[in-house]
Amino acid sequence: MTTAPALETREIITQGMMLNMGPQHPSTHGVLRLILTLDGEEVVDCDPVIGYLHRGIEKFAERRPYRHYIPFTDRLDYLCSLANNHSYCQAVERLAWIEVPERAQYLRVALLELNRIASHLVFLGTFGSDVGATTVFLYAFREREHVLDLLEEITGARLTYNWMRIGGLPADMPENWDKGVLEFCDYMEPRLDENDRLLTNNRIFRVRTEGVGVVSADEAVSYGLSGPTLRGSGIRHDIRKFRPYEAYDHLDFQVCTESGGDVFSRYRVRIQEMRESVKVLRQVFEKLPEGPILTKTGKLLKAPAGEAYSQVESPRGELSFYMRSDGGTDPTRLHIRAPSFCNLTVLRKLAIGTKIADVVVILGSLDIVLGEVDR
Amino acid sequence: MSEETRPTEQGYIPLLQERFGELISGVEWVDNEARLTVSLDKLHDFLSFARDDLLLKFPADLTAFDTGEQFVLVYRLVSIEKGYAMLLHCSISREDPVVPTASDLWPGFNWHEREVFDMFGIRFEGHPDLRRILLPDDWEGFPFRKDYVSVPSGDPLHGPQPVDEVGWKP
Amino acid sequence: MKGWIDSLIGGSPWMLAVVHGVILLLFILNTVLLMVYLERKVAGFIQSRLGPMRTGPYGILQTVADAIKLLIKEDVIPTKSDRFLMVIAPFFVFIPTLVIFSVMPFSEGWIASDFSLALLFIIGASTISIMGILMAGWGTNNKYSLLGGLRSAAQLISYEIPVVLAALCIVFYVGSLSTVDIVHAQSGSWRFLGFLPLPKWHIFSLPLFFAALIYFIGQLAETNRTPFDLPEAESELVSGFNTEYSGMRFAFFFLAEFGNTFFAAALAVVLFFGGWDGLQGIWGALWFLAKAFLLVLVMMWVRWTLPRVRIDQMLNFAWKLLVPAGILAVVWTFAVVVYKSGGQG
Repeated sequence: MTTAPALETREIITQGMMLNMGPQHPSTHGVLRLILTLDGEEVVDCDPVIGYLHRGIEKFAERRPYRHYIPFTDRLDYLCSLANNHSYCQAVERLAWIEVPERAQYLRVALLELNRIASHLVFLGTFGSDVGATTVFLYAFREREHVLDLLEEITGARLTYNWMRIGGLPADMPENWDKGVLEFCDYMEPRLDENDRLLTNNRIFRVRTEGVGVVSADEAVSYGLSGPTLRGSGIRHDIRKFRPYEAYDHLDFQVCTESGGDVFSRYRVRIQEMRESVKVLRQVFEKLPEGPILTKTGKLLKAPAGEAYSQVESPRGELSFYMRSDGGTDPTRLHIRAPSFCNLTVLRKLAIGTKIADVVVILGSLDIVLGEVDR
Repeated sequence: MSEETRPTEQGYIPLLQERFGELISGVEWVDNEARLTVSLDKLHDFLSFARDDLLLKFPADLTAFDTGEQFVLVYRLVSIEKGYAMLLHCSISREDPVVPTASDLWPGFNWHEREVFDMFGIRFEGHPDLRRILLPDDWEGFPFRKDYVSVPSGDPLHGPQPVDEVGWKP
Repeated sequence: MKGWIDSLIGGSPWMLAVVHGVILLLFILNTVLLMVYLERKVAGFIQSRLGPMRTGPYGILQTVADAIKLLIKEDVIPTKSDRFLMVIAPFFVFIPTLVIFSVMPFSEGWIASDFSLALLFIIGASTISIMGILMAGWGTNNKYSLLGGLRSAAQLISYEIPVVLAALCIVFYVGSLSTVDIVHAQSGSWRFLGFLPLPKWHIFSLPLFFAALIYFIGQLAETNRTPFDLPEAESELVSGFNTEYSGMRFAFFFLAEFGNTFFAAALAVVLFFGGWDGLQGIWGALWFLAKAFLLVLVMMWVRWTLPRVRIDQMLNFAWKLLVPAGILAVVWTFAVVVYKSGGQG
């Protein structure tokens, strides 16, 4: 009886496959390039390459008067232009000590919340489409058409509104616009439940999104994540409550948090935020005061020397403008802290060890807009 | 934020003065946020202190500006649990702009530092992967500096070119 | 009908085969035409929009327009691809679809070849298309296609087994592999709850109902339809294994996919829903087609509602759930058959 000969084991040397989810791809929500190194279906490394949409917007501010720069801010995060406009105007208002009238504050809140709903609907649609449920995309955009119609009535535009001025708003709301918004609120609430049911209780969707892309609370804070991405990990941080601005401290709304830290939690946070936005919209029109809509600032605003920092809660997170001035008509430095830029840093850590299908889902849950990331 | 949790008048500034007295200047406490300037030596220690002892764990922003004579780095740190923030300036020289990295303390600053390097040319010592982020890898020059000249002619992809170059180059 | 064909052929078996082939090919092409239009309209209505409306009244000429477009497109073959594999892959994918239709009975006597091992032939021939997909995925020299091809191969091989097990249940029940025999075994009627007359379809028998569910899910995966459309996951792989194909070659893949979908539905009608159900001639065929199209509509409904599963979840589902369920179904059916025949099997 002989023993079996010792087998010589050798490692099979495999080569990781480099897959380029190129700048043009149906799922990368814009011109984002992901250089994935794959081992079969598993991602070994993920290197996001950005800058395809870089336009040097920050540098433009140094050569333009304050008021002339507002249309540039539209093009940053083009899905929530009003939030960008607002953050910029808030920075200039803080720099130049300009007070915004109360009526303008409330109307600004209404516009911002409508924009939040529109932006989250885009998230819902594109996220559903990433996971494979294409029908949700069309339902979400159908609702979004209503929001865009309302915004078009007041601002004249559907995407790049350019409807905030330094010191308030350019014009008051048209007649019966508030009735239109309240009708929309009534229309939207059952639709939100319907869209929710279509995905949230779907077994396949849950299996695809639960436990995927988990960010712990500490990691979320140390990576500088903000917005629904942060709140999905259990951190109750919302700029509207942290440093209240405009009329938010007079309005009653909840900060939506979920403790899972995974893709599903972030999705739930955004759906819940839409419900809260609807609540806020109703309150705004109950409390809307009469009064002027704009604090006049003269043809060419000269802000005193100094610096100012504005923070707003855009649908994607903390959007801040850092502005410096030396007393002239143009700022000397404008820096945009874009939430998508900061949220995208965590993608590398989340993608490693998952499958390609998960990378798409995780990227969808971070909800980035390349206009902001690249500026 | 309720009244009970708002910190006292000067917040954590006394703690800072005690620890880093001579290194900080221009201290202000505005709207629950400290604004101060820190000198470049011991910047990393200062930032560690800020993160570990003051619990400023949220890296809100990292950018820089050019005053013409020097660069000034701007850090903004927030403490979500404590409710206060810090806006930090740090001046560095134009000739040799090297700064210790903060990305080991806050991973969120990784890309911010790359962007500052990309736009200003400020090097961050100890950064794991310092390369250009927004501009193409072979761009020459640092656009956000005040002395940056963008030459109107030339291939927009490759930055300023000598004006008498003719012909197409890939 | 048979008489007219017989006179055309004049007794030669080769001519007979050619005539059958031509008729089947025309049938498949027309069915696919109709199905593509149906898919787009159904998708539109589910998604709260209208679908094609401009090409012809209510868009009925849309697929014709698409076919013409595909025919006149430039046939692009990437330089670095394996030309041979790329060129023959579409044939490997389409020809099995055409061939398995030859044992599909549309009505009494309306079958190209009443093969006594029909089911075995169907299972064997449809497996050949997996090779074609692998060839397409590898030959086009595109990493996305490769991933799509590999995923597709894994999926098709895994889900083949539950489908076969479900078909095996029917074979036990009927005692024959021939599709015509299976349909004949479902003739007659019975009384549900003692008074409601229902046809003796296999779907009404409990173990076979279970087998039908397994069959249906397995076939959704075999035909690459959502929730199992990973190989063509548009949002991840652009178009999976057929990314680099254009023009007529792409059309072949498309034809094969829709042909397979219709075949799966038609086979379900034969196995579980009674086939042409005793009606004669053209009426039998129309009744058969009506039932098949109803099942196709259900498949489309599922496609536009559900999200997509991930590859490992899909393979888990196949091997850990469907295969054991299929084995259970087979054992159950076997037990029922033995019991019914008084212990003689």
